[in-house]
Amino acid sequence: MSELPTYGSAYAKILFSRKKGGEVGHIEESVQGVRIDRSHLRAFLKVAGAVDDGRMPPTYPHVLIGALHARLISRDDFPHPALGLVHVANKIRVIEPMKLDDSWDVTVRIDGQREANKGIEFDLITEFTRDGVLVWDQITTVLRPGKKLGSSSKPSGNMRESGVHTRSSTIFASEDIGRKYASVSGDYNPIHLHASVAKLFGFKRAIATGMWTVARMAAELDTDMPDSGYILDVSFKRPVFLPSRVVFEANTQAKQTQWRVLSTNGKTLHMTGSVLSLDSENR
Amino acid sequence: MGVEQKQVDVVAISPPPEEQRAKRNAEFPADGAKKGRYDLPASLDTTSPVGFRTRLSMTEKMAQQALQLLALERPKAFVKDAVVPTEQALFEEVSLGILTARQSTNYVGHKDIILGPSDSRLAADILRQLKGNEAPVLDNATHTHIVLSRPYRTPFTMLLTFIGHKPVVSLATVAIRGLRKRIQHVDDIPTIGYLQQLHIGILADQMERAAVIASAGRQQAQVFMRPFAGEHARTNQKAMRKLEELIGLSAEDRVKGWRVATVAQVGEVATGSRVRITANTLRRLGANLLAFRSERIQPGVNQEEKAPDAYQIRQDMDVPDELTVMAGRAGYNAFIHWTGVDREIAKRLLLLERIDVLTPNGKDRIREVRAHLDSVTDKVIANIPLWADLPTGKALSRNAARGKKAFALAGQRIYMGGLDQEAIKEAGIDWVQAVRAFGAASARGALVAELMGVVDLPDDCDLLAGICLMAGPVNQNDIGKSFYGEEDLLQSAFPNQKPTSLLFWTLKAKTVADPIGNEEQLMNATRKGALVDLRPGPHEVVSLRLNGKIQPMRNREGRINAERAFSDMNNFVTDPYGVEIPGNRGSLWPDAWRNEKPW
Repeated sequence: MSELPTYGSAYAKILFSRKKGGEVGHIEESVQGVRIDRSHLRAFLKVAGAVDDGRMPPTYPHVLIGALHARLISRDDFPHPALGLVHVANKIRVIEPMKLDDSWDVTVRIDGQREANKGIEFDLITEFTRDGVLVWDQITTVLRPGKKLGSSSKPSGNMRESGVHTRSSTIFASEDIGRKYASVSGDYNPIHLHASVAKLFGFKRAIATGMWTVARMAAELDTDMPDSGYILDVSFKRPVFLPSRVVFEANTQAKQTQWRVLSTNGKTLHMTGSVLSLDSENR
Repeated sequence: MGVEQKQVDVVAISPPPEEQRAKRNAEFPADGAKKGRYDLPASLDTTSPVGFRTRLSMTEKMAQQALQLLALERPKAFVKDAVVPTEQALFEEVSLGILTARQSTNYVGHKDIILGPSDSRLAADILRQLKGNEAPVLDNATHTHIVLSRPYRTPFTMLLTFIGHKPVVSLATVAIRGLRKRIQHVDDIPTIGYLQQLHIGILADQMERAAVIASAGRQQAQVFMRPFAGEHARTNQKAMRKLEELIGLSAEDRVKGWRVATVAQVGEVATGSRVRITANTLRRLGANLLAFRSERIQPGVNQEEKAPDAYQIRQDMDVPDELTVMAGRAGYNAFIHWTGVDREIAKRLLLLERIDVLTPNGKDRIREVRAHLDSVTDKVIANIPLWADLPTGKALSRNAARGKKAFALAGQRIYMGGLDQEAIKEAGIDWVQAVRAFGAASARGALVAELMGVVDLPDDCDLLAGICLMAGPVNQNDIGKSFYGEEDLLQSAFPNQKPTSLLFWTLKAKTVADPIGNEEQLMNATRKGALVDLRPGPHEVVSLRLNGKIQPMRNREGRINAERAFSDMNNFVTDPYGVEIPGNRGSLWPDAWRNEKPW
């Protein structure tokens, strides 16, 4: 493809298909010459609370090719229904600096699936290359909830960590943040949009889009994030219901950051994450 | 106004024997346990630059350097074409100024609009048209603060509306007083109106120090308060309107009572004229100023029964006489600085009664004061109109009864202070300006005790001395004067004058900081105290005039301030095991924004 697809056709297939599950093999989509629309980037920065400092926000490529993800999982050879899939973890590697006026070739693929504690998991792998050189990639780990293999329990008690942090602040996830993020990401998953719709899917209120939370926390880390040569790794634990205030705690030492998001009463862990240098992966 | 101030010197306070030393050592409540005022909060959610902070030890040398700021003379000139401060420097300046300059009664009654260099030139032209300037208007200000103030109104002042009425006619008189208060800004009792002026004085004094500290000594402030006070404010109305137009003060704001109260020009001073304090000392001082707050509890004296052990031990400590002398010196420095009178005249005008609680006479006097205040409270409760009290479940009388606890006076040295209106007039000082200068004097004197309380602070102590500035007992006395024919608290000490008492200082030597719940009242909306307001964030009370528009500070692209000022000094409250309160440390404002020069 030489142009990014739109969400429209993918959404129609997602809403009206009657997939029943099965085994996913290798499926792939790609697009060449992806470029940034600066006004779209500005809109993203505003929703993410990020500063327009000329750097590529680490999660923006994910937003940029969201429609390609939608297209992949709406294909007939992807056997699982897209509605009800749960994003459980995300690992981004910013390998090379990404200039805002560059263009990239993008591939997204799934290479099979595996059984997990709470159902079936698969990885959605995204790669951005420039002149054949890999500059950014992402592993989006998705769960199709199903039969539970092992026991899992919600962490209980207080989540306070010993020691001090370099950042520790309260962040507000507004009631409309799901809709605002959808307007720039194209991810109109109904559980993020409105409480009344989210209730139809078993949630007491709408929940924040996981990747918005990651983008917001990355924005909070600001210049604690290197320009490139790092891994942004997150694990989604419990949903952030909208609206709510959450505590963001981070500890950055020698350009390596561990962070997490928890409830203001300290009893619910919503997300954990880290920013590590690429070298640490090779060690 | 060229009266010289005197250098204030360090008076170290000896810590008690090791076995008597205690720290607050607050912990998080155990899982499932109910949180009390002695427990750490689960988290902090605030846009204020303060947070829960601890005091940092300063060496005697550092403290001596810092004390120069309590005898700070006005700048003579600002350097031409000086570099405009970064957004970060402005944030730290207002953090030490308008965002913290008041003590526990932290009402949101001030606003600060900051002008850049070109608007500062316009403001300087307007300032030159004013009558009563305390000092020359300077050229080359990098920025100018226009501080607005409005009458003091809190739930406490609402309660006052119901006090001092006669039965039956109260149905009409309460309503009339309420309307006069709302529309004409008439106070129930004079000292409530004076609170606004005391706070303006406290803020003006602190703004001078804030400019030095936030700029690492590079800048100073030329603060004008007198042209906007009393009679001068009336004669300067035309020029004041021009200032109000410059900052976009609306008719609606004016109806609410907002008026220009203080203007501070800030600019760079020549190297040879700078205050000689090291950058490290200034940052440590800045972090400490954010940690200083009212200390009401004297361990072993006025603690609650349920208080932890640390508060139950009476400590063999005393406030050294020399410290009270230095606190007085700093106070007189401020009074002469803001009124221009000679030091000896200032000593005559500032009416101070000292109560040494540890002496028999002092004990008798404090009992007498307490009995007087309690009797006023009893009269208030007895006279609250039943038609208002009963439907509210006696909320009014219950709140009035809380005064007995809230106005409890504890400390080794207690001072009552006030002014005599006639003597002030005879000295040629405007009454409103005198009250403001009194506020400045009280806060500057208090700062001596607070600073000395951190000199060579041992690791096993939170502080060595603290102070509480209280207006509550004075207001209670004023209720007695206004409605029940009582005399002023200072009358017996100054029988030949007509004193108006304005504030109490209670100085304490101790090692345990007040319960963290007292601070939480200033930072957590759900635990807000009845008589206090929450500490504001910069976007709530500070604005910058940029390209002709008034923009709230640190409210940008959907982000609101979460930074704690001087956080690099690391003075954050933790539990005894070093665990931080989630959200307390804050998060730095984005680098690209904090390093910007707004103009």
